[in-house]
Amino acid sequence: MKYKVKDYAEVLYCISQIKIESEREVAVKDFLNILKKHYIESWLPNIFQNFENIYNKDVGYSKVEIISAYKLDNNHLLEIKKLIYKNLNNKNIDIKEIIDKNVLGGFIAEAEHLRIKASLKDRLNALQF
Amino acid sequence: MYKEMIIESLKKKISIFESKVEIDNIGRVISISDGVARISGLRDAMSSEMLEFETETDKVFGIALNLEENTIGAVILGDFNNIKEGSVVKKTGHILEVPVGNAMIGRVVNALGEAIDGKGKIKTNKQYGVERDATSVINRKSVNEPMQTGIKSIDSMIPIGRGQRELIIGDRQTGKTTIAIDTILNQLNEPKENRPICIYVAIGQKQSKVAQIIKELRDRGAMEYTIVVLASSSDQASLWYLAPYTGSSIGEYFMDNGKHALVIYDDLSKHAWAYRQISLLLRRPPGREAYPGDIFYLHSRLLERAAKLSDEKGGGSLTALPIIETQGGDVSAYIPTNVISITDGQIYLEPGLFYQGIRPAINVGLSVSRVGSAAQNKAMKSVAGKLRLELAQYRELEAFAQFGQDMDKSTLEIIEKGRRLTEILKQPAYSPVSTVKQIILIFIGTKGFLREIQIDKAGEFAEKIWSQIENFNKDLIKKIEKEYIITPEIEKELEKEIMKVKM
Repeated sequence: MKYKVKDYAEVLYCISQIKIESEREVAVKDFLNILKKHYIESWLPNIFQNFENIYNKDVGYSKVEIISAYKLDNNHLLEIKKLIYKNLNNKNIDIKEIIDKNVLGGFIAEAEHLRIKASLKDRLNALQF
Repeated sequence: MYKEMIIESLKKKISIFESKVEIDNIGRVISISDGVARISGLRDAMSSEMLEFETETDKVFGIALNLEENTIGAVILGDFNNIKEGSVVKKTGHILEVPVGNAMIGRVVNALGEAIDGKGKIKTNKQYGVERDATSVINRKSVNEPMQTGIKSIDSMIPIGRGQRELIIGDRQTGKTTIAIDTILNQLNEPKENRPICIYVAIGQKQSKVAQIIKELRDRGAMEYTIVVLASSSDQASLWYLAPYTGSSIGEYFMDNGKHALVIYDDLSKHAWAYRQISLLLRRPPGREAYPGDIFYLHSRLLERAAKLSDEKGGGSLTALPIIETQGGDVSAYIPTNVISITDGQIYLEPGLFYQGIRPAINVGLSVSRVGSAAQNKAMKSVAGKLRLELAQYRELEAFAQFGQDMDKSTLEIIEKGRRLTEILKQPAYSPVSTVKQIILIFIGTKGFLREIQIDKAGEFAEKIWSQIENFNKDLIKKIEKEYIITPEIEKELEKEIMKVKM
C-alpha cells in the first residue's frame, strides 16, 4: 500500500503523543529514517503542515484574524469574539488584530474555513454588482 | 432646493442603515496546477457545484469534481494564473447553468454560454443546468420524422430520424465535419416551421477552421437557425469538457418547447482527451489507454439526452450527430467502440475512398442506421430499397474484376451498374441536395437508365435530367413533394422525362 502525506502526518502526531521522552525521541528518529529510506524527505514541509492541521483539529485550536479600519474597543471585540466562538465551535481561539484602512468601517474576521464580513468595504462592493 | 433634497434623502438612508453580518464557510486553495485546484474546507459542497475563486483582480469560477475526505478537487473555468495557494474559495450553492432561449440563435458562444462574437450580451432570462437528466422512457416516442442531411448516400441508405444519435466516424481529413455542415446547410431546404435549430459544438478545434465554418454558414444564411458553441484549442481542458453538455442543454430548451434541434459534437475524441487530462490531474485511477473508469458514462449520459418527445410533451426532438476521429482507421480503439455502442448507428468514412475521389467517402458496408429507416419517406424507400444491396454486390464483385478474369454477363452488369451508381452518389462539399432531387437521381440510377451512358458521364446525365424536370415539369416535383410516394403514374412521367433527355 502506498502511504500519503496525510498518513505520515498522522503517524507523527501519534508519536508526539508518546509520554516518555526517551521513547518519543527513538520513535522520531525511526520516523525520519523511514522517510530517508523511502526517499521522501522532501515531503517533510507538507507532513508538518498536515501535522499542524491534525493538532489544531484535535485540540480545537483556530487562528482568527480580525481586520478593521480602526482599533476596536473592548466591547466591540468581545461581541465579535462571541460571534466567532459561536460559529467556529472551537475552544482555543487565537485572535490577531490587524488595522487596514481599506476596510473603511466595520470589520472582517477570517479563520481557516470561516469568514465573517461586516465591513463598509464589502457593502460598497456589493452595491457595485 | 435640489441639493437639500439629496442631503435629506442621504440622511434618511444613513438613519436606517443597518450593519449586515455575512457569515461564510470558506475553503482555501491548497495547490493549483494545470487548471486543477485542490481545496481544503467547504465540507458541505455538492458534487458538480460551482465554486467561486477570489483573486486580487477578479472572480474565477470552477466546478467541484472530486469530493474527498479532507479536500475537494476542482477544475477552473477561466484564467487561473491569479489564483494562489491560500486563495479563498466560496460555494455558490448551485450547479453550473448556461443561458438558453431564442436569443441564442445566430450567436457564437463559449462553453459557459457567454457570447464571443462581439455582438454584445445575450438577452435571455432562461437558464438550464449543464448536467441534466435524459428524457425518461415515458416521455419518449420512437423516431418517426426524417432528418434530411442533403447527402444522397446518407438519406438513401443510412437515413437519420429526428431524435436519433448517428455517429460520424473516420480518420482525419476524410470529410466528417463537411457532412455535419452539409446537414446544417440542407435545413434551408426544409420549410421554416419544420426547420430544426442547429447547434454546432466545436471541441478543441482550430479557431481558423471554426471561423471558416461560421463564414460559410453566414454566407449561405444558415446562421439564422444555427448556434455555435466554441471551446477552441486555446481554451482549457475544462471548457472542452463542458462544451458538449452546454450544446445539449441549449438544444434541449428547443426540444422542450416542441421544436426540433440538431446538435453536432465535433469531436468527441477530443472531448475524451480533455476528460482524461482532467481525470489524471485529479489523480483518478487511469484505466485502458489511461482513460478514467467513467469514460463510457461521460459519453452515454451526453448522447442519451438526444430524444424524440411524445406528443403529450410537445413532440419536439433533439438529434445528435457526434463525430469521432479514428487513428489509422482503427475503429476498434477504446473511444470509437464506446461511442459506436451508444449511438443508433454510424457513418463510416474511409480514407481510401476519399483519395479515389469518391466523396463523401462513405463506406456503405460499414455504415448503418438502426432506427432511421422508420423515418424515411416512402418515395425514397421505394427507389433506394435495393441500392444498398446492389452496391454491396458491386463491391464484392469488383474485387474479382481487378484480377482481370473473364466474367459472365450478369456479373458484368452488376459491376457496371455499381460503378454508375457510385458516380451519381458523388457530391461536392457544401452542396446539399433536396429530397426530391435525391429521389429522382436515385430513381435514374436504380432503374437502369444509365446503362448506355459512359461511367464518367453518369453524374452529368443525371443532373441534365434533373434540370429538365426542374425547368419544364415543376408539376412533377410538386406531385412527389405532396406525399412523397412514387405512384405508377409518377413513375411513368419520370420515365418520359428521362427519355426526353436520352433522345
